[in-house]
Amino acid sequence: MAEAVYNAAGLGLPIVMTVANRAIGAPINIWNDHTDALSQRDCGWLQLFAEDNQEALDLHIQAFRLAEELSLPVMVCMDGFILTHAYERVDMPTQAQVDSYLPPYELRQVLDPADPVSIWEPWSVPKRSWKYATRARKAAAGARTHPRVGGRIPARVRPSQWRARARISHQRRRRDRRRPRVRAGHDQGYRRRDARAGAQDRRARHHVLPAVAVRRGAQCTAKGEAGGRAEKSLAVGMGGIVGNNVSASFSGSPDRVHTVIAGLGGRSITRGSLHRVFEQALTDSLEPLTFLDLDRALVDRVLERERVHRRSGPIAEGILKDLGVVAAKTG
Amino acid sequence: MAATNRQLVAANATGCLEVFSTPYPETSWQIPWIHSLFGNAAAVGTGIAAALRVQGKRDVRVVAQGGDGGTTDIGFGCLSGMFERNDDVLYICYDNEAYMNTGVQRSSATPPAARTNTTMPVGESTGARFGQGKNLPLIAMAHEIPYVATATVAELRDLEAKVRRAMEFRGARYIHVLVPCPLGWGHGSAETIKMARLAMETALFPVFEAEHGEVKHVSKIRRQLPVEDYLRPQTRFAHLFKAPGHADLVARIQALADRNVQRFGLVGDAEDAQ
Repeated sequence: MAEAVYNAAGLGLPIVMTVANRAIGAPINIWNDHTDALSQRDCGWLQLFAEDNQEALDLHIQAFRLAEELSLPVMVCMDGFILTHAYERVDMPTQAQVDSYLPPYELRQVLDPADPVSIWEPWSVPKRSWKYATRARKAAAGARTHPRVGGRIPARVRPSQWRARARISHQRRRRDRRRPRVRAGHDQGYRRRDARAGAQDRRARHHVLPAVAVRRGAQCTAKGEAGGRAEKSLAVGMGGIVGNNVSASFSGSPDRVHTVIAGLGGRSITRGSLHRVFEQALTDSLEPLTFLDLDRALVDRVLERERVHRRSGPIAEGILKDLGVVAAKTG
Repeated sequence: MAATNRQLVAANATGCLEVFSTPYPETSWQIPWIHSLFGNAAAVGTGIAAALRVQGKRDVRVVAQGGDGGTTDIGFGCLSGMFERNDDVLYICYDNEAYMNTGVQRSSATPPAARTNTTMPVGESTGARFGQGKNLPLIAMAHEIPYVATATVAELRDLEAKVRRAMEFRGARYIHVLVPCPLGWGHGSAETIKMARLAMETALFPVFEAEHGEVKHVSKIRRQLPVEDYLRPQTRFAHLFKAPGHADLVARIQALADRNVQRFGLVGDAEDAQ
């Protein structure tokens, strides 16, 4: 389906797609992480990540506004099995509130027998032209949603009209505004994550940090100081997908930035584990790229075996053999 | 177009039809037309039908079209979904029995023993294998959609009548048109119509109509011709007739034709309803 995702962006279709994020096999896994959506990060879509069910509702309405204003498809990502299976009391905006925020959509291209047109992506249009235009649209999306950069879209949703928190990009606390943080508007569409930069500051008293915030793939970077980000996605060979993009978005990358990969395949992220990571970060003993709660000894044994015996077969099978839980025939 | 009084929107899969009809910045289409991808013409048609339904435009009809590659292989999942949901779309497959636009590669509509660039008769290979491939009209019928028909470019009046008939139904409809490809089949351009007629008269390509999963009408063959009459003029089957020849394979192809005769009751004097 990846080709269709690109195609929708190229055709400028203002589609809003709900994505119930799930880990990708093999080994088969029905739990949540963000690798699925983030594998499609270069398709020309904007990606918004909901923190809770209320946000999932808010973001859909906002996503339509963004999509229609910019002719840019938008994914609203909800953590599979966490948000998709959660019950939560939510504030529903009235139809009038939505209508005032979301004006009637005017079609840009219409397949009308009375005025026929041919719609397709001609080969002759240089790819670089529309790729560049797509990039500009995504940058515009950032500019319109970040409270510090115009904030045109959220400005229309005042607390009196709707709810104070119904903003696409926001800071958690007033004091966060004084802190350097990841800015919205960089070109990858991670606005939900960006918003949490302040909350994830190393000085933000990790013991008050709700585990769930990190679990949603939040990240943090304090410019010039030790910063960290935790995420539920991994580009094999490159480290964290979000982390790499955040680093790339700084003109001067912080010296000491740590990436923690957590919660892959729905693995629980416990407060205890987070505390250990933060302690390590504060004592400078945290590696630049850390896999939370990784059984390093187990993995090392498997890797050592693979080093000695080539053609090692499925990785999962090798790990299971090491654990002795199944009669694995490889590894 | 006439059947819908020009109130028609077309979705097109990637393929020969799409490529030659829309060389940028020109277009041959005088009706609203859209191309998205190779494999999603049926899904795009579904979407257009849904949009028209929301807008209350019941008089505007939707046609989705593709070649055999875009239909039987790449777009098969979308097409089966369109059938299963009984979306109000007429899907037309123009079947030239291989990926001709990209240089003659086998598709799942390529007939057995045919030479393509991916089924070359070299060594022990004798071209495309027997027992593989898909019969899309029968698969469409298995979905029990309102209307399924086959046709060839040799009988344009018949094709026209079938499109008109298809437009009398609402829901998913499928027409499978055999279109010889001089390049891929290896015959003269002037023989295109003749090849299509021979495919029908040898019973290799049964021409029929079905409604809700039942065959309602077959185009009868007065005198069934031997398949050799059809195979021999095409260079894609030339290896069957060069010394030492493959009489056994010709016999197997004849058996396929004979099975069609039996299955569809193809031989007879008149075009009777079954």
